[in-house]
Amino acid sequence: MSDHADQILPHGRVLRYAFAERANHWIAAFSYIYLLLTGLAFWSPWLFWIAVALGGGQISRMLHPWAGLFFFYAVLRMYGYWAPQMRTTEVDKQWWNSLRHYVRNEDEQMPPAGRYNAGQKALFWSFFYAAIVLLLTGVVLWFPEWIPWNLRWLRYLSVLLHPVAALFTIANFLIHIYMSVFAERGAFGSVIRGDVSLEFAKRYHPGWYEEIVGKPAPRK
Amino acid sequence: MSQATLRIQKISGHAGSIPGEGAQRQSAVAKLIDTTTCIGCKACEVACVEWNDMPFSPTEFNNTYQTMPETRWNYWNLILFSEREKEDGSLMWLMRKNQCMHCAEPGCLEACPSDGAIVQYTNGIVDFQQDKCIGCGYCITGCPFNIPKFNKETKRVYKCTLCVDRVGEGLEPACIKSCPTGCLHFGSKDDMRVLAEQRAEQLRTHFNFPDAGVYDPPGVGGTGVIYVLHDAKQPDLYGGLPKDPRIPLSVRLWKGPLKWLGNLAMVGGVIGLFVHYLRFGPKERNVELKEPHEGAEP
Amino acid sequence: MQKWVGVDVPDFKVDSKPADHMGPFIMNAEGVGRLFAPLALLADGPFPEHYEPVESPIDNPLHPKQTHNPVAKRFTSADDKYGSPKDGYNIVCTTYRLTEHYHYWTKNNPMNVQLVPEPFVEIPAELANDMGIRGGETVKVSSARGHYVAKAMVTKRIKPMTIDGKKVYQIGLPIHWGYRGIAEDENKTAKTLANSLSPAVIDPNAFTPEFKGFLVKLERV
Repeated sequence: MSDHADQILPHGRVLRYAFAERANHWIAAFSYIYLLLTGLAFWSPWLFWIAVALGGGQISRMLHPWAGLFFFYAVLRMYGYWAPQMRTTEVDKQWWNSLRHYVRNEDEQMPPAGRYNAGQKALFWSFFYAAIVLLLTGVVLWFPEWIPWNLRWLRYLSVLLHPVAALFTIANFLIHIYMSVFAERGAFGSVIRGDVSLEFAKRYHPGWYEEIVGKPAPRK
Repeated sequence: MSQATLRIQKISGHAGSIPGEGAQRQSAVAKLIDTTTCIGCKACEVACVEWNDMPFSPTEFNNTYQTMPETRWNYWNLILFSEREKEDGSLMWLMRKNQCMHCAEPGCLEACPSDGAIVQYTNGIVDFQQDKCIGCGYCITGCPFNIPKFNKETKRVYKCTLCVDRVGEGLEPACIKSCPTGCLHFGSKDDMRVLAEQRAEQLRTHFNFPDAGVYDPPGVGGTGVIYVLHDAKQPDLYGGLPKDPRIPLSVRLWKGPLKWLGNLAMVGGVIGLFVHYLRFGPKERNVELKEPHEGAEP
Repeated sequence: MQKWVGVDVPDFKVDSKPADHMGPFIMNAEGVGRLFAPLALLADGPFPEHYEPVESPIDNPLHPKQTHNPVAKRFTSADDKYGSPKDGYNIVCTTYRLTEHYHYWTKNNPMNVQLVPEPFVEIPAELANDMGIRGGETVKVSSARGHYVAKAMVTKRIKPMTIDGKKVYQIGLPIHWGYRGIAEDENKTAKTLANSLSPAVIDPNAFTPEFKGFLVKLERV
């Protein structure tokens, strides 16, 4: 659903995410939550009770890698849907320079972002590469008994890189949840029902608004 | 029950303090293996299999007297045979009894994420509690001696228990009992060290082994199994005994600095975002809605 | 100066020649030592003597004209044939027992079979190199009487010997396998017997058979 013919809908709304994208997002989201919870349980003795609550340590260990496969599959689909729109543009460089305004919610001072702003693009790629690292290290950790003694460096590397990559995704996750649930009203609906208001587009993604409507978004 | 919990001084994956830590007078036990008098008869291998009632598994000929290439989930004790040609042309047939070393600072316990799956008793014995094991295999990565072995059917890990069930009743481990040459000794760690040093001194002085010594690696805090070697400078000749074993660096980094950084970052992140919301609120607070439509969202 | 040497310190004139009959054994009238042997007890006596086994790579260094024990019992069936180096049997073979097995019954016991599962032939590394044999490969050992098939254990522990100026190799066979057993019943072995190689030659005094030294040839299978 990466075509720019984003449907204009009645009552001043526009379709941002088609059904396939939304469904895929929630596969990623739910599998990630399971991975996060069981992963945190394996990460810290203080949180091991989470694994116990989710069916026991053995079950959590057994299902964590399968959830990882689901997550990675969903991330691959996302790459298919959105990667072309996540390339860095000139606007992105300016966006980072104006980050201070963004944090202070002074959105009118921000350069006109396209369908995705620089921060979202950074999040996308960060998740994508971290997911690859998690998958590769995760496969090694899934079958440690298959890695012989003379290849133990693979296990040593994986045991360290897997939590490091996971911490990256947690940082992304915190920002992502904060932005989509708390900071940007309307964003959450975009991934449930798929549509946002034209005002939303105008305000947060003026470049995208221009593509949809055919004329530039008025500056406030 | 309290007797049992007081005899445990370290628990894997455990938050909070451990009731048995420092609660017993320290009396670490140790197994002394004198490789210079081992004849490779494998009585100790048989004793271990028999005492622990382990099921047999197939073996095959591999150009050596060694029973199998490494220990297995159901074969915890293995004599490793290696032929060493010395510079003067003579040949030594080295035999080392290989099993869990029961490190004072066990890498397996350090790496294990499951609460109580690996314990260390006050006598130094490191024991796997398979009912708490989640089968992740981190212990395999934490061990510098390639000891824990995974069982695919039960999805648990197994290793030598230093016959903790026998030692707990005041008996010596089964392997010690079976040894016909008396090259295996068992007692307190202090006594075994004294015995080992005496034997090493005897080897150096009277038997023309100037490099004979005791193997009790400090990198893991010392071990509950110590060796007397003809050549303590080259332990790797004895079936790949590591010269300076330590818990692998990546495991130490993961459980040390990364744990701190990660926890700080996660908690800091959540607090930081919360503070941001208090300070700045959501994004559209300052925006005045234009042309509100029925049912439309801002 | 030539003198008497040895482990002991001589308490007589150390450079006295044998022909001078110095007589150091002062408690015997004749001044020389005495050896006792019960006259009737040794079939090849009165004194024990060195003889080569019935199959030997060399002649008897003490008296080449009588290499073998003249009263060793030899059986005379059609199978009692003997080989020599000129027939191609130029490798010395010996048989022995393992710690992990006992005679012919432990091949039926799972614990013992786990320790040493299959029969093997121990071959010096130099001989294996010469013949291009690698450890684990199946080899065939043949004597004038039979053959034995098993896997090769190539080892540096057995070194070639120099016997009477000749380089001689020795190989060794553990005895413990046969027609039936855990490995045999799974067709993992060739089901050959070590003692189909050895000669049925009996020591005239102890009646023990000559299982420990005979000649064979070795080939890859």
